[in-house]
Amino acid sequence: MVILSCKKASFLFEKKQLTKLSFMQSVQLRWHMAICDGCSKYASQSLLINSMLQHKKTMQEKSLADLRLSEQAKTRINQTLRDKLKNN
Amino acid sequence: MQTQQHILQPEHWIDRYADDMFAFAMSKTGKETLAEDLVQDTFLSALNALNGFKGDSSEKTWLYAILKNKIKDHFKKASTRYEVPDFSFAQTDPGHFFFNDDEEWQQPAMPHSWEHAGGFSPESKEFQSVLDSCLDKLPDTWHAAIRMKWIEGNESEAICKELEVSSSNFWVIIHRAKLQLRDCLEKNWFD
Repeated sequence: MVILSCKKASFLFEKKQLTKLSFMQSVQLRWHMAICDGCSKYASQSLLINSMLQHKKTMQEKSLADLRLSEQAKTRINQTLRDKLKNN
Repeated sequence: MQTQQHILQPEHWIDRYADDMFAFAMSKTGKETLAEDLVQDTFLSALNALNGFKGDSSEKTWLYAILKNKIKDHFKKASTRYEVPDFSFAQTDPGHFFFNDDEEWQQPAMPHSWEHAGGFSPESKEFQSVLDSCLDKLPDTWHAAIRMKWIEGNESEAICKELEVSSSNFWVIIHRAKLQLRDCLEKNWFD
Protein backbone atom coordinates (compact mmCIF):
# COMPACT_ATOMS: atom_id res chain seq x y z
CA MET A 1 0.00 0.00 0.00
CA VAL A 2 1.26 3.45 -0.92
CA ILE A 3 2.11 5.60 2.09
CA LEU A 4 0.63 9.08 1.76
CA SER A 5 2.77 12.19 2.03
CA CYS A 6 1.74 14.84 4.60
CA LYS A 7 0.70 17.19 1.81
CA LYS A 8 -1.57 14.52 0.32
CA ALA A 9 -2.87 13.40 3.71
CA SER A 10 -3.83 16.91 4.80
CA PHE A 11 -5.48 17.41 1.41
CA LEU A 12 -7.48 14.18 1.76
CA PHE A 13 -8.45 15.18 5.27
CA GLU A 14 -9.94 18.45 3.97
CA LYS A 15 -11.54 16.63 1.04
CA LYS A 16 -13.18 14.24 3.49
CA GLN A 17 -15.00 17.18 5.10
CA LEU A 18 -16.39 18.12 1.70
CA THR A 19 -17.16 14.85 -0.07
CA LYS A 20 -16.93 11.08 0.28
CA LEU A 21 -13.47 9.55 -0.10
CA SER A 22 -12.93 6.29 -1.93
CA PHE A 23 -12.45 3.25 0.29
CA MET A 24 -8.75 3.14 -0.55
CA GLN A 25 -8.30 6.85 0.25
CA SER A 26 -10.00 6.46 3.63
CA VAL A 27 -7.80 3.53 4.56
CA GLN A 28 -4.64 5.38 3.46
CA LEU A 29 -5.71 8.49 5.36
CA ARG A 30 -6.48 6.59 8.56
CA TRP A 31 -3.15 4.79 8.29
CA HIS A 32 -1.24 8.04 7.82
CA MET A 33 -3.02 9.77 10.71
CA ALA A 34 -2.18 6.87 13.02
CA ILE A 35 1.55 7.34 12.51
CA CYS A 36 1.97 11.07 11.80
CA ASP A 37 2.02 13.54 14.67
CA GLY A 38 2.00 16.69 12.51
CA CYS A 39 -1.02 15.56 10.48
CA SER A 40 -2.96 14.45 13.57
CA LYS A 41 -2.46 17.90 15.07
CA TYR A 42 -3.41 19.47 11.75
CA ALA A 43 -6.60 17.39 11.62
CA SER A 44 -7.87 18.24 15.09
CA GLN A 45 -6.98 21.93 14.67
CA SER A 46 -8.66 22.02 11.28
CA LEU A 47 -11.89 20.71 12.82
CA LEU A 48 -11.59 23.24 15.61
CA ILE A 49 -11.27 26.02 13.00
CA ASN A 50 -14.40 24.76 11.23
CA SER A 51 -16.37 24.98 14.45
CA MET A 52 -15.02 28.48 15.13
CA LEU A 53 -16.11 29.52 11.65
CA GLN A 54 -19.55 27.95 12.07
CA HIS A 55 -19.83 29.80 15.31
CA LYS A 56 -19.10 33.05 13.45
CA LYS A 57 -22.32 32.56 11.54
CA THR A 58 -24.53 33.19 14.57
CA MET A 59 -22.39 36.12 15.68
CA GLN A 60 -22.41 37.49 12.15
CA GLU A 61 -26.15 37.21 11.68
CA LYS A 62 -26.63 39.47 14.64
CA SER A 63 -24.17 42.04 13.35
CA LEU A 64 -25.20 41.86 9.66
CA ALA A 65 -28.70 42.93 10.63
CA ASP A 66 -27.40 46.27 11.83
CA LEU A 67 -24.61 46.65 9.33
CA ARG A 68 -24.68 50.08 7.69
CA LEU A 69 -22.73 51.65 4.91
CA SER A 70 -20.57 54.35 6.50
CA GLU A 71 -21.54 57.99 5.98
CA GLN A 72 -18.24 58.68 4.23
CA ALA A 73 -18.88 55.88 1.77
CA LYS A 74 -22.41 57.14 1.15
CA THR A 75 -21.17 60.65 0.48
CA ARG A 76 -18.48 59.32 -1.83
CA ILE A 77 -20.89 57.13 -3.77
CA ASN A 78 -23.42 59.94 -3.93
CA GLN A 79 -20.78 62.26 -5.40
CA THR A 80 -19.70 59.64 -7.95
CA LEU A 81 -23.29 59.15 -9.05
CA ARG A 82 -23.86 62.90 -9.34
CA ASP A 83 -20.74 63.33 -11.47
CA LYS A 84 -21.91 60.50 -13.62
CA LEU A 85 -25.36 61.99 -14.10
CA LYS A 86 -23.87 65.39 -14.96
CA ASN A 87 -21.70 63.87 -17.66
CA ASN A 88 -24.54 61.92 -19.22
CA MET B 1 -55.57 45.89 -19.50
CA GLN B 2 -52.28 47.39 -18.48
CA THR B 3 -49.89 45.65 -16.11
CA GLN B 4 -48.24 47.75 -13.44
CA GLN B 5 -45.05 49.33 -14.67
CA HIS B 6 -42.22 49.97 -12.26
CA ILE B 7 -40.20 53.15 -12.49
CA LEU B 8 -36.63 54.02 -11.55
CA GLN B 9 -35.78 56.79 -9.13
CA PRO B 10 -31.97 56.97 -9.03
CA GLU B 11 -32.03 60.00 -6.71
CA HIS B 12 -33.43 57.73 -3.95
CA TRP B 13 -31.21 54.69 -4.52
CA ILE B 14 -28.67 55.45 -1.81
CA ASP B 15 -31.28 56.19 0.86
CA ARG B 16 -33.45 53.23 -0.03
CA TYR B 17 -31.05 50.42 -0.89
CA ALA B 18 -27.40 51.23 -0.12
CA ASP B 19 -27.36 49.83 3.45
CA ASP B 20 -29.07 46.55 2.58
CA MET B 21 -27.02 46.08 -0.58
CA PHE B 22 -23.85 46.74 1.41
CA ALA B 23 -24.88 44.14 4.04
CA PHE B 24 -25.62 41.67 1.23
CA ALA B 25 -22.22 42.28 -0.40
CA MET B 26 -20.55 41.93 3.02
CA SER B 27 -22.23 38.57 3.59
CA LYS B 28 -20.77 37.34 0.31
CA THR B 29 -17.30 38.87 0.47
CA GLY B 30 -16.59 39.75 4.10
CA LYS B 31 -14.48 42.72 3.00
CA GLU B 32 -15.68 46.23 3.71
CA THR B 33 -13.94 48.26 1.01
CA LEU B 34 -14.73 45.58 -1.55
CA ALA B 35 -18.41 45.59 -0.55
CA GLU B 36 -18.51 49.41 -0.79
CA ASP B 37 -16.95 49.30 -4.26
CA LEU B 38 -19.41 46.64 -5.40
CA VAL B 39 -22.37 48.77 -4.29
CA GLN B 40 -20.95 51.83 -6.07
CA ASP B 41 -20.23 49.84 -9.26
CA THR B 42 -23.76 48.49 -9.16
CA PHE B 43 -25.26 51.98 -9.07
CA LEU B 44 -22.94 53.16 -11.84
CA SER B 45 -23.82 50.24 -14.10
CA ALA B 46 -27.47 50.77 -13.29
CA LEU B 47 -27.23 54.42 -14.37
CA ASN B 48 -25.69 53.30 -17.65
CA ALA B 49 -28.48 50.82 -18.16
CA LEU B 50 -31.45 53.05 -17.31
CA ASN B 51 -32.79 52.74 -20.84
CA GLY B 52 -32.66 48.99 -20.67
CA PHE B 53 -35.02 48.88 -17.70
CA LYS B 54 -38.31 47.49 -18.93
CA GLY B 55 -40.28 48.05 -15.77
CA ASP B 56 -41.38 44.43 -15.47
CA SER B 57 -39.50 43.88 -12.21
CA SER B 58 -39.21 46.23 -9.26
CA GLU B 59 -36.37 48.71 -9.01
CA LYS B 60 -35.01 46.75 -6.02
CA THR B 61 -35.04 43.37 -7.80
CA TRP B 62 -33.36 44.96 -10.79
CA LEU B 63 -30.58 46.54 -8.69
CA TYR B 64 -29.96 43.28 -6.79
CA ALA B 65 -29.68 41.35 -10.06
CA ILE B 66 -26.93 43.77 -11.11
CA LEU B 67 -25.21 43.50 -7.72
CA LYS B 68 -25.24 39.68 -7.84
CA ASN B 69 -23.63 39.81 -11.27
CA LYS B 70 -20.99 42.23 -10.00
CA ILE B 71 -20.12 39.84 -7.16
CA LYS B 72 -19.95 36.91 -9.54
CA ASP B 73 -17.71 38.86 -11.94
CA HIS B 74 -15.45 39.86 -9.10
CA PHE B 75 -14.86 36.26 -8.04
CA LYS B 76 -14.36 35.21 -11.63
CA LYS B 77 -11.65 37.85 -12.08
CA ALA B 78 -10.11 37.03 -8.72
CA SER B 79 -9.81 33.33 -9.50
CA THR B 80 -8.22 33.81 -12.92
CA ARG B 81 -5.77 36.42 -11.66
CA TYR B 82 -3.12 34.66 -9.62
CA GLU B 83 -3.39 36.32 -6.27
CA VAL B 84 -0.42 36.26 -3.96
CA PRO B 85 -1.47 36.50 -0.34
CA ASP B 86 -0.07 39.43 1.55
CA PHE B 87 2.31 37.51 3.76
CA SER B 88 5.94 37.79 4.61
CA PHE B 89 6.33 34.27 3.25
CA ALA B 90 4.34 35.04 0.11
CA GLN B 91 4.72 32.21 -2.36
CA THR B 92 2.69 31.60 -5.46
CA ASP B 93 2.49 27.98 -4.36
CA PRO B 94 2.02 27.79 -0.62
CA GLY B 95 2.91 24.11 -0.93
CA HIS B 96 6.57 25.14 -0.95
CA PHE B 97 6.16 26.92 2.33
CA PHE B 98 4.27 24.23 4.20
CA PHE B 99 5.92 21.11 2.77
CA ASN B 100 9.42 20.15 1.71
CA ASP B 101 10.29 18.36 -1.53
CA ASP B 102 9.24 15.05 0.02
CA GLU B 103 5.88 16.64 0.85
CA GLU B 104 6.49 16.35 4.58
CA TRP B 105 5.71 19.22 6.97
CA GLN B 106 8.62 21.58 7.17
CA GLN B 107 9.56 24.17 9.76
CA PRO B 108 8.29 26.74 10.54
CA ALA B 109 4.94 25.51 9.22
CA MET B 110 4.81 22.21 11.13
CA PRO B 111 1.64 22.17 13.27
CA HIS B 112 2.35 22.58 16.99
CA SER B 113 0.11 21.87 19.96
CA TRP B 114 -2.33 24.66 20.64
CA GLU B 115 -1.67 25.10 24.30
CA HIS B 116 -4.51 27.43 25.21
CA ALA B 117 -7.03 25.72 22.94
CA GLY B 118 -8.83 24.19 25.91
CA GLY B 119 -9.17 27.34 27.96
CA PHE B 120 -9.95 30.18 25.59
CA SER B 121 -13.21 31.73 24.55
CA PRO B 122 -13.72 31.78 20.76
CA GLU B 123 -16.31 34.50 21.30
CA SER B 124 -13.87 36.96 22.83
CA LYS B 125 -13.32 40.18 20.89
CA GLU B 126 -9.56 39.61 20.88
CA PHE B 127 -9.79 36.18 19.30
CA GLN B 128 -12.42 37.27 16.77
CA SER B 129 -10.22 40.13 15.60
CA VAL B 130 -7.26 37.75 15.09
CA LEU B 131 -9.53 35.33 13.21
CA ASP B 132 -10.88 38.19 11.06
CA SER B 133 -7.43 39.48 10.20
CA CYS B 134 -6.30 35.94 9.29
CA LEU B 135 -9.35 35.54 7.05
CA ASP B 136 -8.65 38.93 5.47
CA LYS B 137 -5.15 37.81 4.52
CA LEU B 138 -6.54 35.04 2.34
CA PRO B 139 -6.86 35.77 -1.38
CA ASP B 140 -10.45 36.81 -2.21
CA THR B 141 -11.51 33.54 -3.83
CA TRP B 142 -10.14 31.43 -0.96
CA HIS B 143 -11.79 33.72 1.55
CA ALA B 144 -15.10 33.43 -0.30
CA ALA B 145 -14.80 29.62 -0.50
CA ILE B 146 -14.16 29.34 3.25
CA ARG B 147 -16.89 31.85 4.06
CA MET B 148 -19.53 30.18 1.90
CA LYS B 149 -18.66 26.68 3.10
CA TRP B 150 -18.03 27.05 6.81
CA ILE B 151 -19.56 30.35 7.85
CA GLU B 152 -22.67 30.34 5.68
CA GLY B 153 -22.92 26.55 5.50
CA ASN B 154 -23.70 26.28 1.79
CA GLU B 155 -23.53 23.05 -0.22
CA SER B 156 -20.19 22.55 -1.98
CA GLU B 157 -21.93 22.17 -5.33
CA ALA B 158 -23.62 25.57 -5.04
CA ILE B 159 -20.32 27.20 -4.05
CA CYS B 160 -18.50 25.75 -7.07
CA LYS B 161 -21.23 27.14 -9.30
CA GLU B 162 -21.08 30.58 -7.74
CA LEU B 163 -17.28 30.77 -7.83
CA GLU B 164 -17.16 29.04 -11.21
CA VAL B 165 -14.57 26.46 -10.15
CA SER B 166 -14.55 22.67 -10.60
CA SER B 167 -15.03 20.52 -7.51
CA SER B 168 -11.40 19.37 -7.59
CA ASN B 169 -10.28 23.01 -7.74
CA PHE B 170 -12.59 23.75 -4.85
CA TRP B 171 -10.96 21.01 -2.73
CA VAL B 172 -7.51 22.43 -3.53
CA ILE B 173 -8.65 25.97 -2.65
CA ILE B 174 -10.11 24.83 0.68
CA HIS B 175 -6.95 22.85 1.50
CA ARG B 176 -4.64 25.79 0.81
CA ALA B 177 -6.89 28.26 2.57
CA LYS B 178 -7.07 26.03 5.64
CA LEU B 179 -3.28 25.53 5.68
CA GLN B 180 -2.78 29.27 5.63
CA LEU B 181 -5.56 30.04 8.10
CA ARG B 182 -4.32 27.41 10.57
CA ASP B 183 -0.78 28.70 10.32
CA CYS B 184 -1.90 32.32 10.80
CA LEU B 185 -3.99 31.45 13.88
CA GLU B 186 -1.14 29.42 15.36
CA LYS B 187 1.40 32.23 14.93
CA ASN B 188 -0.90 35.05 16.04
CA TRP B 189 -2.96 33.45 18.75
CA PHE B 190 -1.98 30.02 19.94
CA ASP B 191 1.77 30.45 20.14
